[in-house]
Amino acid sequence: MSKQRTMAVLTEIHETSEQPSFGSIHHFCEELAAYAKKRDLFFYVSSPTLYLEGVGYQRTESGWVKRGVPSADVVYNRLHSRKFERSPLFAELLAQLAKENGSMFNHRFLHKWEVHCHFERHEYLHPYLPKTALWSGKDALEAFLGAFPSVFLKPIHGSQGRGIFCLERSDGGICLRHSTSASTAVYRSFDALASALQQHIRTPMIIQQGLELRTLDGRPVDFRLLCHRVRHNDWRVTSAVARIAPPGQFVANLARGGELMAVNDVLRKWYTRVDAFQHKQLLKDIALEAASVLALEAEGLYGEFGIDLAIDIHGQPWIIEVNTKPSKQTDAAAPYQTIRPSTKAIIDYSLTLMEEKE
Amino acid sequence: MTYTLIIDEQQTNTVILPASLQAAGQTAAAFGSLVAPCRVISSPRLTDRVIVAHDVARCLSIPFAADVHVFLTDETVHFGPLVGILTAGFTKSPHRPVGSRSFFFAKLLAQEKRVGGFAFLFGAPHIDWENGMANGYFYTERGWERHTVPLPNVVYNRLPNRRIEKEETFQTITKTLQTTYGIPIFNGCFFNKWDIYRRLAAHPEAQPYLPATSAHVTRQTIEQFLARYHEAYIKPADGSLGRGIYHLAKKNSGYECRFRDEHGELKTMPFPTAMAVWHHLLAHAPLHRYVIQQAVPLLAVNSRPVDFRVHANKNEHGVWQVSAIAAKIAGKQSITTHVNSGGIVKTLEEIFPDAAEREIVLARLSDAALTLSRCLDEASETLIGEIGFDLGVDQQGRIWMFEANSKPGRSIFKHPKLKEADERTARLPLAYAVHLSKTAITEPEALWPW
Repeated sequence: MSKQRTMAVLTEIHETSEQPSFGSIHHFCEELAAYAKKRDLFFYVSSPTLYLEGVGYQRTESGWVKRGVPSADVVYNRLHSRKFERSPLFAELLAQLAKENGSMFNHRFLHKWEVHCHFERHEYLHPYLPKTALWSGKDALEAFLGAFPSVFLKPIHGSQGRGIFCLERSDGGICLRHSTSASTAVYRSFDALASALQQHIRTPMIIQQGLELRTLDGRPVDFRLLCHRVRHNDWRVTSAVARIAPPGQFVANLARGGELMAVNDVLRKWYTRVDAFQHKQLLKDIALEAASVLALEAEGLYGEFGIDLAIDIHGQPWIIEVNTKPSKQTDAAAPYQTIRPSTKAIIDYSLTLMEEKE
Repeated sequence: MTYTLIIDEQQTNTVILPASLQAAGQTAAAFGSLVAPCRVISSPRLTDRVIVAHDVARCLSIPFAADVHVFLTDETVHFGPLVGILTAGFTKSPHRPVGSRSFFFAKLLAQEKRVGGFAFLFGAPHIDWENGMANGYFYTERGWERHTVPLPNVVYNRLPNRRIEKEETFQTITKTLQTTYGIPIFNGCFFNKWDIYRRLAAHPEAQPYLPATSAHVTRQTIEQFLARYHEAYIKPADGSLGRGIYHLAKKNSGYECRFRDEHGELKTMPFPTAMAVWHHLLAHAPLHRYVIQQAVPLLAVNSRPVDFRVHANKNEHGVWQVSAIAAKIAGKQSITTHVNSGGIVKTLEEIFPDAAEREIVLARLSDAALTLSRCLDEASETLIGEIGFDLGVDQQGRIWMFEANSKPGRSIFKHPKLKEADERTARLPLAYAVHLSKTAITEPEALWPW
């Protein structure tokens, strides 16, 4: 009799009330538990501290029950703190997993600059990569502003569209906008802008070529494609949505008040039926290539990525950024009663990893 | 050695070569099938650049500046090569010219930068026979771009399937390019299993690698094969991806036939006699297009049979080299090791943790692939640049060849550890195209001996 296959989700657990809360992925964990049961998989949710103690939450008919659990064959890492992934406790956890011959995906957060470097190594992706540099002072920024009408400055560890600067050349000088504070300032000279920026930049940033994105009612649109790994390093797009930036904003993240629309509906507003089809396929192709390249280049295992793409006014698609812990809110279009494809994909990939070891 | 080709807007009617390429009375420049008379000189000030006057570049339809090879003949200096990749199935979308295969070709064309020269994708509708030009798809830093260029120095055949290859349009295109323009085409056709077997079996060096095979699937051959080898495969001579394969085994009580039904479900059926097996097969498969092959007891890992995909490519010197090796472990309940029937791709390192054992298997597989490539090449009337072999190692360590594919699939290259092999196998056909172009330009008699 072989050992029962076991999978664990690792996340931050809030244990204040009677039932634990798994934060933004609570519903998702419910779904995972339901589908794991169908696939005859022992499933629990744990935190790093609890995991090292051999404790986890198992879903029963009466709710989540805290109990002693076996070590997991596969751990799905949904920790939301980048800082934690750099802590000694996380290193201890990885060592423990390695000792037990367990696997973990996603290995860790990938920041914007390393993602860009991984992509850049693959020349065939170049047409879809906005020019990007690591912020090292005002010289590179000046070169970017000379080459492109608009430039973005993004924190390499940022997420949900927080802390992004948008710089635009205008008649009177350079207009500086900020995504979180929604403030706007115009600087007469580059030096004035640079010294103002220097004060704001306290974390590593990337400088990125601004793009003239296609818009709906003047609002920029981007596309979030959720990609999951299936068997044998193949990837599949499990969900896709268009996100429309709120009026006056330059980022479309939901957390910033963006609005969701079906990809087809957006593309049909811009293109004929045939062209819309090709553009949709192209978005999918690019997302899948991007996911495969990242999984190939990055150290450790990756089973899902949220790939943000956009289309410029010339119809050229671009890879905007990649999220290694993608939000589970964008593909919630289907009612919660049904199991989402992304849930199935996570469980199926875990099972594949187990099979490969057997 | 490649040179950076620079298009000079000031100069006219001139080509300037670096000192290392001594001009010796050449009176023209050529790009693909076009030739333009011009002044050809060498300059001691140039080392790794060639300068082409803008009017010469325009006359030759050189699409943009790039790193190129330069080939000199008595009269002419040739820039390039210009490599045409022939395929079919073009869409109207400029961003996705060949639909879902666009990225496959983008990856291939992106390797051109490492090799030097110009490679483009084209199909039947893009050839302008009247002017001897082609409107091809180039993949640049900006993505797909169309440029009208001369007919290429060589053509790399990437037609997607046997059916299209057999269409009259393509038969005519390949014939005209070869006979009228003297353009060599490599990877001219898909292999037929029986044809390959026949050609290789005639070669004493290749013969030991071949499992017994017959093109006649009859009651007699079924009986003979199973009496002699206990197990056999019945497979389509033109098949790929392991579709339509039957596995036969002799049991005490008679025969057993395993196959996948139309829903992909694995079925096992017992038969009392060879006649009954044959009748069943006859009713379900066009046996006149099938072969019967001895099944070899394969080396097993975790009691699952393993076979090996070995890619061989001709390189920039026109010499065969092994470019990739991967192991394929059969799915738990599977007839073959094909990935789409549950097979898993592993590297040799994963299969043979012991380095000494691994080296032995690696050397044997490489020897077999190189020998078989040379034999096939000799026995073939067309130019072959790459072959994907399915090889097996039996329980005694002997190497067997099950299949040779002229257009091998690339699914093994999704394995993270095969990244370099992936790029190498994409680059080598272009490197071979450079060699072939050079041969076609500088010693065409070597290419067309017949």
